[in-house]
Amino acid sequence: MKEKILVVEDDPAALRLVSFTLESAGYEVIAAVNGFEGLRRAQEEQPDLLVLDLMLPGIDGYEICHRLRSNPPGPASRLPILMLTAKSREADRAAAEQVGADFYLSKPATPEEITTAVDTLISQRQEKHA
Amino acid sequence: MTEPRDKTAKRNQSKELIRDRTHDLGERVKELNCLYRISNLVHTPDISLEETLQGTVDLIPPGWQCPEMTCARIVFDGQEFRTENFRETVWRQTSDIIVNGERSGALEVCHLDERRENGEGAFLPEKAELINAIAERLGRVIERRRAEEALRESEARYRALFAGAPEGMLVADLETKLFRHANPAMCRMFGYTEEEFLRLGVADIHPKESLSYVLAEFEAMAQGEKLLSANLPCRRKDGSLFYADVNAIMVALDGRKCIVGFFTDVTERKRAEEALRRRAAELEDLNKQLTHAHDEASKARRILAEKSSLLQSVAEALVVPLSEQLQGTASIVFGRLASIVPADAFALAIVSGDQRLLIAFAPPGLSRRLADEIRHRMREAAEIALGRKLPRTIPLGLEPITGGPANVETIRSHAILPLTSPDLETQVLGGMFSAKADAFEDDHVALFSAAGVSLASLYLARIVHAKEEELQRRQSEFVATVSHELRTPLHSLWGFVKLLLEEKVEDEETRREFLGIIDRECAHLAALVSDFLDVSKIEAGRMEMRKEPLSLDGLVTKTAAAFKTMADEKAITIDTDLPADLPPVEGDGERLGQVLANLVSNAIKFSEAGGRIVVRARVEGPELVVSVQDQGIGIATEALPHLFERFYQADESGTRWQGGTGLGLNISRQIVEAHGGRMWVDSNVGEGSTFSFAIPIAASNNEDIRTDEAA
Repeated sequence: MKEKILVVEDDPAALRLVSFTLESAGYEVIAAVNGFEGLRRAQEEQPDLLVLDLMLPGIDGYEICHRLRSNPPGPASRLPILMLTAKSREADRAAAEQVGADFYLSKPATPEEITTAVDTLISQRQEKHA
Repeated sequence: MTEPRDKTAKRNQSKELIRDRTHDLGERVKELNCLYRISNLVHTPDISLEETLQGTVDLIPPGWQCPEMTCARIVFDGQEFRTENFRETVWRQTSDIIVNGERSGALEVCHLDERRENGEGAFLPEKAELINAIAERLGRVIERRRAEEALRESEARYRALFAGAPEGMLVADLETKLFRHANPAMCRMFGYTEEEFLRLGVADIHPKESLSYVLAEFEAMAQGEKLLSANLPCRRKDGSLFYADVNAIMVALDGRKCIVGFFTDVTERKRAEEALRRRAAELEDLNKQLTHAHDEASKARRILAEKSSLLQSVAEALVVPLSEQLQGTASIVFGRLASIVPADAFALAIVSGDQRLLIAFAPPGLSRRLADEIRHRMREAAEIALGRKLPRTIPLGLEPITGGPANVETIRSHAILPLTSPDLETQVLGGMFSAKADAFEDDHVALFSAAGVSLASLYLARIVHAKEEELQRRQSEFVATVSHELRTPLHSLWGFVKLLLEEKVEDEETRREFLGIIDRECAHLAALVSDFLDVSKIEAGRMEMRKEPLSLDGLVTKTAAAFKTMADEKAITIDTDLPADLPPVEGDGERLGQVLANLVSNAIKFSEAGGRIVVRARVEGPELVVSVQDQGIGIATEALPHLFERFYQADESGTRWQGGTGLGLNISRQIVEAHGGRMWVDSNVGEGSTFSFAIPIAASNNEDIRTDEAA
């Protein structure tokens, strides 16, 4: 069974790139183009991993991350989160860790880097479940 | 027969008795002679005590029965006086010489022959008494001599004092008022000799008018007054008058009551006193002048102190955080001022660079009518100062001022002053108001001006400071945003290029799709770089605007044509509405073209397929207004104020603007403003948007333009 990955990304080109890359790597990709939609799908569709941009229309990536981690213990609160963002300052990375992101990748990132990061997070998750 | 014998015996006895008595009598006569001589001796004038004592011992032996066998000695006061034949023997009689109750010496009489065996007392009692009497007499003599000597010394001393005293001393008989003595100083003082003085009396040395006073003094002395002193006018021998301080005491002289007067000539002192008095009067005058000057200086100093205290308040207010801004500072300064100047209310009018008029006033408890009046007066003054009408007023209340007025009904006087240099962009005026007519003096205005100028400077400094801070904040934010904005297309570009390079894309259609994305991202990146460049030029004030006569209808037509292809793709029509006689504007054709292109491309982006866009130009007063109207999705009211901010995204639910940099409208507005114009938007959600800008119409005439275009 394919792992389901939710990509929240408002830039159409970037979304296309990540979707294509992860689909090529054998994942099922679902997408959201703004913060509200992203949060809703993360909570309702039980993805195995979240690829999250920080700058989003509506609510931003930090807020999504924070809200997911504030859920009662369950799949949504434990959802692995990969931050993929053009925000590249050290403060941005620290803030992402603060709200509970599992991994931080700053743009530009190559398809290989994205795939590697996602693979790693997925296998870690499976180890925990095992 | 015994009777005759008895008679004879008795007769013999009597004869013997008579002989004895005669002998005794002779002895007594000798003793009396001795005493008499001694008595004479001690009363002899002009002989010394030593001569007296020596004489006394010499007179003693002749008074004795056998003078040759008798010697005498006096030991007194460490001295010894003796007869030539004196020799100490055991047969002797000694008597003490007592002077003033003390044993001071001794008188000794010795017999030079052998002591008789019979008789206890070696000397007859009469003899011993004689010696005692002589010793006693000597004691008295010595006492008297000493007393006389002391008196002589004392007299000499007093005489020396009297003669040598620097003060004049005059002795007058209390009863006769005639003089009895005058010392040399007295003689010098009055010009009389002592002999002349002795012929004069009190009435001769004092002027008539003060004589009664002097005589009253004499009377007081007679009544027992011990000491008197007075300053009295005196007349010299030559008739001239002078003043003397006279101290007088009573003495008894030869049994008569006398007054001793001590005279000191105080003419010089009087003269000095007079001079001092005149000098004192002068000083008094001078002092009055100085006091006046001092009062003036104090007043000036007080004003200065108040000024500096005000400036101090302003300086203290400087440390108030920037956020508390003008209100807090003004409250502090006006609070201080309120206790110094008779103002019931204060106000500040600030005309900022964007022509907004900000009026602050204190205290806030003023009635609405009064507050309105203050605003009105401040506005009037500001408009007069600036020479033009001002559009808007934003009232700003101030913190309450301590000691502020309770019930001010009317304003009867005011002082409104410019507090900033007229060449500054921001102008500040200060006003103070009073319920009293003519309440403000020059000093008050000066104080208010000093405080107000400081306050205004502070305010301007804060504006500059805030602007600088804002600029810095925006610059660093801008850099961060630029980095973010560039990374986004770069990320996609790099990713797709990698995918293509690594031949991860198998089907041709996807490959073409990715190349299309790469193409668009490159264009986006190029647009971004271009816009960033514009923004940084604007930020640095280096955006160059040419100023050339320009006809906007040509520009509009050109832009519409340029976007025809892009509009056609969405089946959108672009119409233009241009009057025939559109006047020229002065400006940069390329930059204004950029503005038009930005507005038209936005209109296309936010229009539904099949929509219509109208670009209009029309003359409105002194301006030429250009508008771009679409029938698109419209903009929410709350988003309108932010629309011209950088990277502002109106639509929060959708994706990012297609190909938009988020800078276009901001740059456009800045270009329009650089032309002295303005830009705005009217929009309702679902009803489309109209973006407009107005540019002042050029002063130059139309002919030039046509010539240009013809050429």
